Amino acid sequence: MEENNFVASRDRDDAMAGLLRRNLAGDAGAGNDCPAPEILAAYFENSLDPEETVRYELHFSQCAHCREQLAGLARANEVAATAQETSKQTIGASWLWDWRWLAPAAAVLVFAAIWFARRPVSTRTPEPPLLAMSQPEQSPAQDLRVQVPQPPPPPPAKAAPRAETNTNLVRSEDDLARSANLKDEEKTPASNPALDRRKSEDADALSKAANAPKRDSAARAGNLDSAQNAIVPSATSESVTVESAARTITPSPARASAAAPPAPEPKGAPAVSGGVAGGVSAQSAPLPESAAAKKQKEGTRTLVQQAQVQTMYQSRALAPAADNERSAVIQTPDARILWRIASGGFVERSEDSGATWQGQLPDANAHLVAGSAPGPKICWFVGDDGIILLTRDAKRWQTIRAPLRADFTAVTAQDASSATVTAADGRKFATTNRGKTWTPAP
Amino acid sequence: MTPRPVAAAPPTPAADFRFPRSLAGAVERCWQKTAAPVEWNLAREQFEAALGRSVAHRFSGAPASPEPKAIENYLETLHHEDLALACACSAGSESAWNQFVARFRQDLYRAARAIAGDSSASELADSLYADLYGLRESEGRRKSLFDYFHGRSKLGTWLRAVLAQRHVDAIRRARKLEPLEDEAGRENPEVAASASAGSQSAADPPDPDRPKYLSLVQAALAAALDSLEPRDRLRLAYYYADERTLAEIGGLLGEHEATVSRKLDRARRDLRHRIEEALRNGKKLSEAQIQLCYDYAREEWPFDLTLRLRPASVDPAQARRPGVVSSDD
Repeated sequence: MEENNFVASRDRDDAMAGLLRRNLAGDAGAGNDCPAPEILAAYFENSLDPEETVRYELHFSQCAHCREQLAGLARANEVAATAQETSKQTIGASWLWDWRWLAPAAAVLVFAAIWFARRPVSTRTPEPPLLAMSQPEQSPAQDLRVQVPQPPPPPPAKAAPRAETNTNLVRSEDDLARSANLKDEEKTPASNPALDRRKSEDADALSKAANAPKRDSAARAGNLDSAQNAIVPSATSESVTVESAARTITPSPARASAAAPPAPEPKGAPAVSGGVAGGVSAQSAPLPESAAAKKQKEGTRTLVQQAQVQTMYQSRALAPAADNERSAVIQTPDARILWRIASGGFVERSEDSGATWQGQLPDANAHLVAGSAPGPKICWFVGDDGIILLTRDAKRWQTIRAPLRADFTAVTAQDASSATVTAADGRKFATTNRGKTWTPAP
Repeated sequence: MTPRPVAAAPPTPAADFRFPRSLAGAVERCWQKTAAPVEWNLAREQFEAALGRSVAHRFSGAPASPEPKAIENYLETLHHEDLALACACSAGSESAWNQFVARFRQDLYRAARAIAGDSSASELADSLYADLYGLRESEGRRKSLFDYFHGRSKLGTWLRAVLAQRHVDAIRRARKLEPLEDEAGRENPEVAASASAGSQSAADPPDPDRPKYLSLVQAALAAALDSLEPRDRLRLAYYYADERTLAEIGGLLGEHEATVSRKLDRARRDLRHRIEEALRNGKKLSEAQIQLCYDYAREEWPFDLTLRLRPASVDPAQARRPGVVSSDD
């Protein structure tokens, strides 16, 4: 009997399931009543009014279309939350390796090591045996034989922190030496006043931080927070910066050879910061300095340079297209038709001499810097990281294989197949078959 | 059932709302909260206009003009910084656009991959990215999708919601274009199966009262569903109509998996009770007749829960509901 009841009950449950599925699967609520994405977003964040929540939940329960959207939104939010969590952990740990407190800490260690090495010998040398008899308090176990004063043993600990610090400095210099395109950027005069202003402000902040005396932890945390807020507005921008920096650090023969000459100082940078390149420029000092102090300053300066470079890339990531890039119009044989580069990977084309512009997105991840339009519908664009784009009908874009993975700063095109590109180090390459082959050009 | 029209163009932005003097303080507080950088060149009037559009959008369709207090409370709930950024981007501020790109572009593409998969993500994100930028410029002003952001949610969540909407719309458009027959003239198997099932049951009913019983039980179920709380109904829809797992439903509703299971079970029991009460007391059916209603429904619309509890190695597509608590009675 109980088993029969159980079976009957299970059958009714199965029937219920089928009925529910049939009733609930239809798009009874779908239509013009579907709310806008903003309502879905607000609902997802629990920021709707209670009355709105009830009303929209009723709609959602009847509308598979809205439910599908909510499911997609949930997936995207979950991925975003995971990415944010990972980014926070990275930022949380990264401060440990931040040069802004490492440099002063290293300086303190070096000074401590120097002081330890130079402290008065008398405090460490044992008394000569002549005085032993006048010291009845001595332990009976002490040897009363003549004791030759032993020279102080070389402190092994002294060398370790200095060597460790030097290794870190050498490692930093190597990193800078590899990033030759950073030097190339320095060669190009900065034409963006906003970028220049930001560079000089950042350089001022960095030089102050490098020369600051030892701080207590609270002040250090406060300075870190403000510095982070000044340079890294959000986790997203920092991660974008990492991508840019990672691309530019990729070694290549061209970059290695370009690493040798020191680069000129950026505009507006204070003298104490020196150049960006791996070379260390000497500073004039009013008094002669010890070798250790000199090395410590050089190390600090190198770390300052590295951070300055990073700041510049962060600035560039925040402002990927300088104002002059957008305003630089690319002429075509038809005077009415113009091209220009906008920010965020966009380019714009005008067919009425610039009265109106239509945007296109050839590559959202590209940072374009120059273009050449040999025909009304033909246009070549070049930019960072070996990007070369071509359109032959002013609509569809193709990526042209670059002669090398470098930042390109200029392009001159003759037609849809022939063009000459200029790399950031000044070398030129020409193609006559739309990038299938490239030859060095004079 | 009328299919949802495909949204070919974004809706018209809400008309501006003019704030009375009594709300000047609230508007000023909102403006202070934006902390918009000077480089954005965002004027206070522009931001106030954006607030006005948001209020108009929120209270459109209300039977009467909203109370100032209700408007003030609403203004306090908005995401002012994000609204200022969207407003500045819409107004064409290069600095604001660069800020937006730095903060949101990577997230946008990441969200597109999560929603649409790697194959379609780039196209989906590029399309939205371009619309946010505003590909058409007229009289020096771009037409941007930012005009439709009113600050009711975070900008990032709104972007993901737009991506989700576009993706679902694209899928639905593709579904409508699926041919009934393939190139060889063979019918789509799913369509053929559903058609034949319907035709079999209609052509040869074993019991002349079968349609009547089915109709009674459906009506009783519909009435019982209408009496449910919307959230309970939504939970059932996620489970039965969309076949989502308990964990997925929990994520969608902000509930723990166990809570979802318990509430589903309770809703199911409640519905069954209401249906049987309606059939017994309302339609004066006997227990045997009520059983017939269930039997015919089970035959007509089979939904085998055991198939969905099968281990993944046997049928991966079916094993989607770990932890289902079946009703016990």
